[in-house]
Amino acid sequence: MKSKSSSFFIQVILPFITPALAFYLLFRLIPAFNAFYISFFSWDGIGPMKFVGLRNWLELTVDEVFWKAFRNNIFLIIASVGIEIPVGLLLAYLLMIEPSIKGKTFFRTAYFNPMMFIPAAIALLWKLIYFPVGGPLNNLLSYLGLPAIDWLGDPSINVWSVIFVVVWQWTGWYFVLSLAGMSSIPTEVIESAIIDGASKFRLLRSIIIPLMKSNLFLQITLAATGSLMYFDLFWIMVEGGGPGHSAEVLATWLYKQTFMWSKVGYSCAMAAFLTIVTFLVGFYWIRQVAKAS
Amino acid sequence: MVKARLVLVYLVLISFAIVFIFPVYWAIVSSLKESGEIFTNPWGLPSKPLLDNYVDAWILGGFSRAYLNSGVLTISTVVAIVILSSMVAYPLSRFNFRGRDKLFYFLVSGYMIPPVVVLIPLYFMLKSMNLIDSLFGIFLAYVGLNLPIPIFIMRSYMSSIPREIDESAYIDGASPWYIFWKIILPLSRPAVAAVAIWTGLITWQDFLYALTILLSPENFTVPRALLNFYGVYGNMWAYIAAGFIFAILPMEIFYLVFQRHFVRGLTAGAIKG
Repeated sequence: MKSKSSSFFIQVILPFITPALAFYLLFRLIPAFNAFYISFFSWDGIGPMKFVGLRNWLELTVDEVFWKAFRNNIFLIIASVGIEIPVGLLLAYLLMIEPSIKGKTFFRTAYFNPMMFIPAAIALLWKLIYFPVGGPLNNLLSYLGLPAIDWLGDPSINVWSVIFVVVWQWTGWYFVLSLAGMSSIPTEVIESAIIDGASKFRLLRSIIIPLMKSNLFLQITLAATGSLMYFDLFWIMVEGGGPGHSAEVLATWLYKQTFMWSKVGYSCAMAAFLTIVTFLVGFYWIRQVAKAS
Repeated sequence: MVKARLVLVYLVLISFAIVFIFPVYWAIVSSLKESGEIFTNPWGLPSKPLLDNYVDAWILGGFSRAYLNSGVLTISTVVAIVILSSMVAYPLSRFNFRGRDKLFYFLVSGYMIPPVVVLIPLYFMLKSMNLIDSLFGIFLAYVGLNLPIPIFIMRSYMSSIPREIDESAYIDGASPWYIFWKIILPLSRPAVAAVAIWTGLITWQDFLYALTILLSPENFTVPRALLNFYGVYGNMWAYIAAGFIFAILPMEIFYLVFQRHFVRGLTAGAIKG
């Protein structure tokens, strides 16, 4: 249908668009722009705002905890892209390529299952599993004659202990995204490659992965942007970011700046920085989504 | 040779299944043990399974109230988002007007704004509206925050419905509202299901907003109540394990019953085709 006049736009189209647009603007977009605006002020969240220009942004460059948190986010990106996606791809490939495997539904259900769990609940469960004295994991270590490890307290490993649980929850997500990507590859392509004598590894490397390129790029983008925003497990499992902020991430650090120390202007500079980085990393996703329409 | 490979494949598949299932197994057996037994027998089955921990955890953790709050919030957010996203997707997919694609782009790209970034200014906005520690306030936040992906899902689905269907109705004199409610929305049932699952899961699981906006126990959702429960009874591991089961159970049941819909619905929001 073609819209003929501006009265059609006002009478028909506008009423359909306005409610969603209003919610989106009021509760997502305007707050985000506000964060950019507030980043140029010194503000405790209650009193008057004082314009300070770029001071908050300059403070970022010398805030060691901020850079440590950013580094931990990058660790999380590396683990998500380097573990979740390859493992998900491998599991999806094994289920697809071996038709004689029994219990496929069971495996699919089991791998995706952690995605259903509330992250806060997972965080508490793993806190018990990691518990240094009497926790089941250290119990196992002592049974094997190994020394106990302070999984969440030791500043040299605690960030990895948390990242492991994030990976544990999210691998199933990339597994089903890979399954979806593989299912759109025509079976003739795979069959003819097998008839031509391609090994299973060759098939994966030379045919499946190239055909899944845009699917995998989307997975990487989602994993990277999700890792930049991540909050829940780090907040609950390692109180206060751990000794020396060893397990701080950007989301927990700017959360504390706002809600514990009322340095709202500064935290907004961090928030604006985080938004810019996320948009740069997520640009591929936005472009693909627009293309798909 | 073929046999050996198959054994290896099974070995990989089964070891990963164990990694994903074992923590949950541990939570289940621990929730049935006396507190002392969790330490003396950390991995085995309970010597004498008891359900008392569930009763205690349910009452002490305030789970009746938390279930009610989470249930009401999740359902109302799902309903609101299904209605808003399908309404906006209808003209975006079926009418030509200036700036249509830009508007779509604009609505969906907001997904890349981190929720924690939105939260900070939003918190002060809700505070000035007296909507902190209010289920209505967090409902507004959830609806606005989670619109982009549902709009994307709805629009891609509606674009695939043949235009002849509503064009003939339009020629017969049906109004756009009639066409939307009586023709397009019923035909979009798979997209409604996908949006409902995506929104339901994300609302049910949310911790960040519940932590910040909800302050008093009578407003706590399940994740928030569980954290509070841990704060008081953290040394009672059997209680925490039972609380974990409470927190995961409703979604788990939905997932096991509607599994295919879950997987399809959630992937629809991330990747097309």
